[in-house]
Amino acid sequence: MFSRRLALAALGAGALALASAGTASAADKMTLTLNWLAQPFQSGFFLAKEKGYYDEVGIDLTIIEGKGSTSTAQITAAGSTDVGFVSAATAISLIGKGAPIKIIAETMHGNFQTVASMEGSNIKEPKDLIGKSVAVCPGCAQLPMLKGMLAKAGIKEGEVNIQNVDQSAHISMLEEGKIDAVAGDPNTISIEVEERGGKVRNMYFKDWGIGQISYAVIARNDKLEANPDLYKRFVAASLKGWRGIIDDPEAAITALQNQYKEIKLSRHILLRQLKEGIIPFICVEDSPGIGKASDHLWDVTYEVMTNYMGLDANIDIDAAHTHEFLPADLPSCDLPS
Amino acid sequence: MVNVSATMTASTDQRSRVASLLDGASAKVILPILTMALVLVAWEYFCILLEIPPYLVPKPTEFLGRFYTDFANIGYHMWATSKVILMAFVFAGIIGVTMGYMIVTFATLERGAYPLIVFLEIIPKTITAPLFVAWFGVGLSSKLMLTTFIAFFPILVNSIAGFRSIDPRLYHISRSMGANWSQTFRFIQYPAALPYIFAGLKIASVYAVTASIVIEFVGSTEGLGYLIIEAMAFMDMELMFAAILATALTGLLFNLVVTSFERLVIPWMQYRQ
Repeated sequence: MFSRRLALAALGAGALALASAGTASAADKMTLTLNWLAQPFQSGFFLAKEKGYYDEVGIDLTIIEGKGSTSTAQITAAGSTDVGFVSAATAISLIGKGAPIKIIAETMHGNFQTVASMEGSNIKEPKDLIGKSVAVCPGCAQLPMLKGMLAKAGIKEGEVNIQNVDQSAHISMLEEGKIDAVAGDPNTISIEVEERGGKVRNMYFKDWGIGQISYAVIARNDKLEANPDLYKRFVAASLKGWRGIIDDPEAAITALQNQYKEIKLSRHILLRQLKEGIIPFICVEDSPGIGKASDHLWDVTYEVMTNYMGLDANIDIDAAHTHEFLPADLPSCDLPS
Repeated sequence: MVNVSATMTASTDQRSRVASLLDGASAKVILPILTMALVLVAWEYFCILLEIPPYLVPKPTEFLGRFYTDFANIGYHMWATSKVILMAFVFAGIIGVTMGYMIVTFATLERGAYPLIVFLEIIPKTITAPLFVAWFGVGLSSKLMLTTFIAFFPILVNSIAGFRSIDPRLYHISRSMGANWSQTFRFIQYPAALPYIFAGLKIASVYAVTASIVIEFVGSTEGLGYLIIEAMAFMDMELMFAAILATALTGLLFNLVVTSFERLVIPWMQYRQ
């Protein structure tokens, strides 16, 4: 009697294990390569993963940190990753060079990159940079933006001393006066300097004519054609995560810290970065919803990139992106009151 | 019989002419150029055959074309990198040879300083480069310091080997003939160590180029490293590869200069080769 019960229990456990294994193997494996190391501004993806949004749609997602938008865009074009999260300008430049990739969701519409300087330096507009030194991290998307802003302001090449400086040295060089300004992400410069008691002035690129779409999700064309449903599910789950960081920034930072325990910045700073430096830029005034930029913004992006950032004017900007993978009901851009 | 003999003589003459052409001074120029040309042709062919996209790997015709059209810009950055390498090389040479002599002469110095030098040398340059930029700022100082620091070690090691290579009996002979310290150094130690020192200089010439480019990646306003990074930011792969070619040419040029200088300073070494 006892051994029969034991046998039945073992059979039941075995059947359960088989059923679970069957369910796990049904999830589609996907890799997402980020543009850089994990930071609050990618936390839409981390939150979606933490909340199980990808699991709900049958995706087993692996998120890989990147080494710059250029490298991530190239990796995506080479097919070594399923999706990439990159600077939209970088993606469009690569598409212009024939890369078989497409932007499938515009996750950040507002260009939040700045030229940051210490308050006392009196750098308020591009012309104030003449004769000054500006640091840019090697190979970063801020370099074309900076050159574009200077060109739009009529400042000649060479009038501003642009210095290639590793990101790790930006804050110390700015604080010590070794550099007059830094072109970069205000979340990693301004907020951190302010937390240490300094005062920073941000000159946003978007306020000086370089207001192109900021960040986007890209994928290779053949992968999109092979499995469109997978990418629709991925985009839907991701945009839910991006809406989630607006509704619950605390949960977004918790997700980031849980998944990237090596991040040493305090929770307070991470939250400030998200609330002040990211959430206000997810959408702009005429954004239809999270994940979709307006036609007007695409026109602005084309104009900025062809006039000031070296993009070939013959590029078919409409073919560089598609909205067919977006959910019918886009998450709203409304900010909490 | 005569005809066979004449034919054999003619073909032998031909073979000797070819052999002398291949062995001659011109071979040192022709052979490397031929090899490089073959590599470039194969590269071009495989890019076309395998349909490798230009945004990943440009074809030689593409980046060689950019090298030509953008030569003024590339030349400017090449000179910016070269002058740092030249200065660093001179400093590294002076410091390396002097320190090598001191270490061989004073055993205490070898026991105390040499392990520390080796330890500092082992630290990866990708770690030290950002530190140098943070400490000394972006500009000539940090570039010169790091390039000198990296180039001096092979010179030091080879200088030590060179000064140690002297048969100790020569010192007895020189002392017995009344030679003082400076005469011993000038007529025995220095000439004996020169072949080793030049071997170190040739290695250092390559290290110096690498070091200069690495620090330009991390903090610079000009130079080939700066140009490579800028091209990457604009996804300009043709320019990037043209700049990489310029880097290789810079290294080759420095190596050639050192080799030529070696022939001038130690002409007797040529006859041993």
